[in-house]
Parts: sequence; C-alpha cells; structure tokens
Amino acid sequence: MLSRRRATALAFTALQLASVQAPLVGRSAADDDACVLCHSELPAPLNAPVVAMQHDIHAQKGLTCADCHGGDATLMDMSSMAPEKGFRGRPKAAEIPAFCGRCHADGAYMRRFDPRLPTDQLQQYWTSVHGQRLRQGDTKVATCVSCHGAHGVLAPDQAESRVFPANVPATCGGCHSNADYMAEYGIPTDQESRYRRSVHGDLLFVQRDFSAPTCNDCHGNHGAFPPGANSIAEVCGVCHANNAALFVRSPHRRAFDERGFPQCVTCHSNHDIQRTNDEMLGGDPKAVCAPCHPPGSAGHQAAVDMRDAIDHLKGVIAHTETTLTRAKQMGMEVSEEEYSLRESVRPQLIMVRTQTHLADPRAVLEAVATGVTAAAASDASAQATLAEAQARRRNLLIPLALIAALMILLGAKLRQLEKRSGDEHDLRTRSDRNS
Amino acid sequence: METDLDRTRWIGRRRLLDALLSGGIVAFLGAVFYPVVRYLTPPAALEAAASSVTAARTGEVKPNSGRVFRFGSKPGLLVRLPSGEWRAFSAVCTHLQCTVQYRADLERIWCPCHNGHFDLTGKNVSGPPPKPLEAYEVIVKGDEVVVVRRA
Amino acid sequence: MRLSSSAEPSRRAAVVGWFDERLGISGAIDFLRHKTVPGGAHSAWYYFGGVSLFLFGIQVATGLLLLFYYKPGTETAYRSVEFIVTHVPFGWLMRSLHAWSANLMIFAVFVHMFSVYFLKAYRPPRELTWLTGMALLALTLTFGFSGYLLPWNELAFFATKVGTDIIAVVPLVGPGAARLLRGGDDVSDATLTRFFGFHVAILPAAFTAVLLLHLLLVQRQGMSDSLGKRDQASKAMPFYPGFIIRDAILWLGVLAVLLVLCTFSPWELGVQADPFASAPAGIRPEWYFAFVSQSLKYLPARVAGIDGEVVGICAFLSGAVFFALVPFLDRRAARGSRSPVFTFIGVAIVIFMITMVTLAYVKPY
Repeated sequence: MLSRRRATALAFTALQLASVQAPLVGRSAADDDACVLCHSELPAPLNAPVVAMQHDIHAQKGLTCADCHGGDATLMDMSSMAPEKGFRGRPKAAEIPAFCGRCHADGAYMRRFDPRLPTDQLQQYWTSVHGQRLRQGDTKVATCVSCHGAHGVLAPDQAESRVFPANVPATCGGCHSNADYMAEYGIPTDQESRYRRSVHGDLLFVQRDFSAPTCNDCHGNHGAFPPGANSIAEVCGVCHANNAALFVRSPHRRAFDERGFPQCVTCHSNHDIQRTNDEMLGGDPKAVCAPCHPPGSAGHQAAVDMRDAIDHLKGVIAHTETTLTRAKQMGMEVSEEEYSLRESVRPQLIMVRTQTHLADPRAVLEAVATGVTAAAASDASAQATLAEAQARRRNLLIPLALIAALMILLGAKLRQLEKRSGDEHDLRTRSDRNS
Repeated sequence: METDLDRTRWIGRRRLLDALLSGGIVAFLGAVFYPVVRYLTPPAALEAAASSVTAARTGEVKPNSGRVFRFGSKPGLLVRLPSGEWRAFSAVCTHLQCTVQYRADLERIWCPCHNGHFDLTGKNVSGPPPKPLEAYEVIVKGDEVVVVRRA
Repeated sequence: MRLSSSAEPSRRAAVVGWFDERLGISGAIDFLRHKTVPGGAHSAWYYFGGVSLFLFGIQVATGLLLLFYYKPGTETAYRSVEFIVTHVPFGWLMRSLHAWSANLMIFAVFVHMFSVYFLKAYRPPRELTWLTGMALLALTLTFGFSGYLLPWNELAFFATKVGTDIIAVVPLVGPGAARLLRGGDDVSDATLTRFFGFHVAILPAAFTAVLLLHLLLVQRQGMSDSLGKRDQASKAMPFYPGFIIRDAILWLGVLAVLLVLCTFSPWELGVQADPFASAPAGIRPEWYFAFVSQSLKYLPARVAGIDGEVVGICAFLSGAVFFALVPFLDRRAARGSRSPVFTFIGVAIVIFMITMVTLAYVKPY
C-alpha cells in the first residue's frame, strides 16, 4: 500500500522524467532515490536542487546527490542524512574547494568520466587571490560554486553555462562589479563595464568571436591573479606575439620595469583596450608618448619621426587609391591594382605600426621604405591605368573625325548623284515634251 | 545651257569627290580593321584562372620555405617542406582574414596578426583561428609548380 | 543619253558580266536599280529597320571576336571576360560595343516594330513580313536574355534567376520550359552552358534564317506606302543611291554614338556570381524586360482565385499573340482606311511600357 507521500513523490518524479530533455540518469532516476523523492516535494528553496539538477553535467554522467553529499539514498527517512552514513551535508564556503576537489583533483577518478579534463584546478585555486584569501578566512571570495554553480553545472562549451566565454565577464562581474560587495577590498569595480566597451568586448559580444580574450584568458582560470607588472607583455603576447617580442627588446621594457609601469597596459589600458589608431603616436600632447617625453627630448623626436614616417606611407597609399578611384570612375578595370594594394601594401602598414613597439625610428623607417616601394609599384600601375583611360578618350577623336568626314563626303556624293538624276529626269521630261 | 567647260569642271569636281570618298572609305576600313587585328593577336599575359594557377618555378622555392602567390582574387600560400614535398593552402587566415606566412624556424604556418598557428596540413593548432586553412592540390609539371583548387 | 560613269565602263561591266554568267544576278541588279522607297512625311521611320540590321551586324562581328577569348563555365566565364577587358588589346572596346549595341539593337527593333505598327505597314500583302518581324523581335529578346548571363556576374545571375522564375509561372508549359532553359532546377553551370549554346549557335542560325526571309519579303514587296496616301510616285526616292547612301550615313552616325558610349560609359564587369550569396537589394532584369517584371509587382496576390503572377504572365502572352495577329484583325487598315482603334491600342501599349520601365528605375517598390 503506497503512502500518500510516496505516491505523490512517485507521481512527481514521473512527471519530471517525462518532461525533461536531459533526464536524471543512473540511480537518481530510479524511484528509490530518497533525496530526490523527498526534496522534490519540499517548498522552495529546498526543492531547488532537484529542479536545477535536471540540466547538470554531473547528473548526465550518472552521479547522484549522495555521490557528492554522502548519506544513504535508499533510506526513505531522515536517517538517510546521518553522519554515520557518511552524510557531508552542505559544505561551508571554506570547505567547498576540497569538497569539489575530492573528485576533480583525483586524476584516476576523473579518467572514468572525461580523460581530457585537467585535474589541477584545486592546486591552481590555492595559488589564486581567491584561494589565498579563503585560507585566511575570507568567505566572501569566489569558490568553485560561485562561478560554476552547485546544482545545474554545465560544461564550459555550452552557451548557457556561466563559464561559457561570452558569459564569463558577467560571472566575474557578479562580485567584481558590485561596489558594495567589493567595498572593503579597495580595488576598482568597473572592470566589467570597461571590458564591455573595449575592442575585445566588441569582438566577444558583438562579433561573436569566441577566440577573443575574456577575464580568464588574461587572469587565469582557477589560478586567478592579475599578471605581475613586468609580465604583462607575456600575457598580451600570447596573441599579440610580434608586438610583445618587439617591446621586450625595446628601451621601454627596462624603463617601465624600473618605474613599476605595467608594460602594455601603460599605453593600452587593461580592461577598456580600444582599437589602436595613429593618433596614439607622435608629438601631440594627446599622444601616449607625451606624459614621459616632453618636447625637445630624444624620445619626443623619435615619436615624431615615427609618426611622420607612418603618415608618409598613408599619404602614398591614399594617393594611389585616389588615382584608382578616378580610373575606376572613368570605366577602367582596376581589380588587379586593388588586389596588390590590399595584399602587399596595406599589410605593410600593419607591419609598420607593429614596429613602433621597438621604439626605434630606424626600424619604422625601414619598414615604411619597404611599404613605399610596394606602394610606388601600385601607384605606377594606377597612373598607367588612368593614363590609358584618358588616352582612350583622346583617341576616340580619330574614328569620330573619320566618321564625320565620311558622312560629309557621302552627303556630298548623294547630292551630286541626286542632282544628276534630277537633271536626267528634267532632260527626259523636256525631251518627252518636245518630241 | 550647259557648255563643255561646265561639264569638264563638273567631271573634275566629281573625280575629286570620288577620290576623297574612296580615300575616306579606305581610311575608315583601316580604322576598323586595326583594332580587330590587334585584338586577335594573342596577348603576352596568361589569364589568372580561378581554379588553377602556376604559382612558381621549382627553382624559386627552396625546401623549408614558403611564398605567397595570387590565386584568383585572394592570396595563396605555397610551402615547400624540408623533405622537398610541396603543399599549398589558401593564405587567408580563418580568424580575421590576415595573410598567413610560412615560418621556417617553427616549420609551421603562422599568422602574425594574433599568433595563430597552423600545421603543415593546414589544421589550426594554436591561437584564435577557428578552422583549418583550405588546402589546394599541387602538381609539378616540369619546372612549373601548378596549384589547383578542386571544386 | 546616259550621263553614266563613262570613266571605266568596260572593266566594271566585264566583272559584272562574269558573275552574271555564273549566278544570273543581272535581274537582281536591275531590280535594285529601279526599286524605290516611298517618300512623304513619315519616311524618317523607314530607316529603323536598317539601323536594326546594322546593329545586328555589329553584334555578329563583335560576338565572333569575343568568342576567341570567352570561356563558358562557372569557374572561367567571369575571369575570361575580365581578361578580355583588361589584357586583350581593344578587348574593352569589343566587349562594350557588344553590350551597348545589344541594347541599342533592342531599342531600334522596338522602334521599328512600333513605327511599322503605327504606319499600318502590316496590312495585306505584308502579313508575313509582320509575322517574321515579330519572330525576329522574340529572337532578339532571347538573344538579350541569354547573352546577359554569359559574363556570370552577380546582377546577371540573379536577373536570370528572376527571369526563369517568371517563365516557370506560365501554366502548363512554364515549369517544363524553365527546366529546359536552366538545365535543372537552379541557375547553375548547366544553365550557363545552355545559354552559351543558344546564344552563339541556335539563335544566330534561327535569326539569320528568319532575317533572310524578312529581307526577301521586304525587297520583293517593296516598302509600304503610308496609309491613305496615293500617288507617291513623285515623292518616291530611288533605293540606289538615295536610300542606301542615306542608310550608310545614318549607320555611320549610329557607329559614332556607339563609340562615344563605349569610351565614356564602358560596360561594367560587375562582381563574380556567387550562387550561395543572397540577392543584392533592388535586383531587376534589364530594361527591355523591366516592364514585365515591374507590372507583375503591382498585381494582387490572387485574382479571381488564380495566382496573381499567372494572370499577369498570361495577360502578357495573350497581348503578344494579339499583337502578332494584328494584320489579320485590323480589317479597316486592310481596306486602306484609317484604323483609330488599333492606333489607340498601340499608343496605350507604348505608354504602358514606358511608364513601367520608368517606375522600375525610379521607384521599384
């Protein structure tokens, strides 16, 4: 005879099983899992885990409530949660890393489920700011469940996961953008909003380029730490390899280290990195060079020289493009010249801008010279095309003149022939009349 | 009354007109046939076909080096492996369309824009590129290296 | 007394005599010598047939030249046209001549057809001339449709798609005809091959045959007098030298116009067709089909339970059939009297076409 409680629990479970896409598998799906049966009937928030576990990677892999929380799920009463049955209950904040790490740091165990998954998260976590502060007793810091959730954990490559690349800034921002929550730490709380305004934010949120860096790409996943002031180039250099390699060879590297300036961040900012433009370089007070290199200094001159060289190359390119546009408007086909401009000359401009990171005008001038040579070839081709267009229009006069002359001559011949036949006609008429 | 003098003048004028007309017609026909003959004379440059192109001469590309060539309206990359074998790919990076290059020191194809790496089969192995490079077929005919894109 | 060109009579006469002995052409020469063309107020319109013929000649000549370098096929067509236009000496000229002359020829053929219509030159005994002329008009438009696709650029690809879709709407034969034209269900490499075969072989052969018939009829019957006017003899112009030399002068003028167009407004290469890209906004067929596509846009989705487009297409087809049969329908013109009803119908049709084409370019939506 089923108790009313049991019958309701059964019905509830059946309903859940029927409606769920990713159903509970393994033992929790069976109707003898006491945790699910009881908690599903309880009022919020005690029933929340059951609902959340419907879409959870651990549940999909066949794990049950007891696998994490311990206890005996076969016992249909409160004795299932006895400490003697190994019940661990709800871990406190400081216990969470070890709670998850019980499995996730165990390589032999994790191999059963996904051999590709790293198992160093726990060890990394202890090196992080969050981990260190947790050890000191700060329970406000992020632990595993702060980012991944407790129930309803999804794999990071699923779009709904809180650690999916596009969702990471909001997940970190959950604490780091909360000014009240972060008040005691004395660090800014505008990182997320600044990131959203940045070029990387634009790539991530607007262009949906998930290779764009988010918080964890620069700060680390579990070993979250701001990179040290003299290792920022290493971090940015993971993608911006050329720029970083040139920077560390430049005089700026030592100069910044001595002053504790944060390498790339000094000129480019850290969270609201904007698309670079040539106005950042040069002798103008608004350029990034101005704060350290006053007018008259060698550095100022170097900046001016580099900027002038870049402007020169841009001028040559613009001139070629103007010529090509004029030729195109006159009806010429310029796809080949446009190709060479796109493939040989413009990439050289990118190379030139990269070379500025060496902070040596000679390197920039050399690269500019290469670009100007390539552009000159394009320009010569464009000029030739334009000249051809103009020549066609001039040469048109020859056939037009010929045609006009021929039309006049034919007209004259026509008049002559018609006059003659007219005279003939008159003569005939006259002779008819006379005869 | 038409006199003999009138008729002589008239014939003279007619002869002049006929001569001018004939000359004009000849000139006109010349002006028509000149472009036609020039047109029919085979031009020096071979057209750049979209599906196959002679990328280089065998002597121009040493082993463990690469060169960018034009394929249709896009750049292509011709790579000669250290073993002497030829490979060819689209040089358009699958991340943000920069032009990739061959790095002899890494023996890999590399994109300088965001440090993307492709291996020598074109597969994206490191960095932002999401997809492999499109691979082309290479056929060596004599001393010409021809790159073919199969549909 | 003949004031003939007594300068070299014997040589010319000898040559003519040689051919006459073998071909028997003296009868034809005599006929041409005495052939006259009606004079009068409307004689300016008589030239448009010749202009159409001249432009057809330009098409054949430039088309043959383009054949030397053009390569049909989705991979090669666009590039070969690009090659012609950029690398072949005067290739740009031949290509632009071919494209511009095509448009001018279609225009001239329409003007020629309408001028014949309004002058009622179709009346007996010239019904066959009219029918062959309508056939030539249809063939000319088919030339235009098939040739437009050959450069395989974006505009051409989508214009052909829209055009074959409209053909498919015709009841009963439409879908089959569209499949036959396209070589399948989509505009593809097969379509390009077929269109090329049509454009350079089938259509030229058919056109030449019908054209010869048309010209033969015109020559044998002479050109039609204006309606209701008798005794044109005094105003008649001899075919040689009057009409022929005037023809030549006019043709030279047309050639000059063509050359100016080709130099100052060369035909664009466009962007290579990509069957997987979406159609650019504002796509429409060329102007000579625009009146059809534009008017179809104004029809409601359903008319009396039938698809609006089907009704439109059938209306156009019936209109074309009616137009072709006009010589047999216009009894008043056949009698030689004025025929205001048919004139009115013609004027209405012309106004309709011009309005639709203008709307297609000014306000397509």
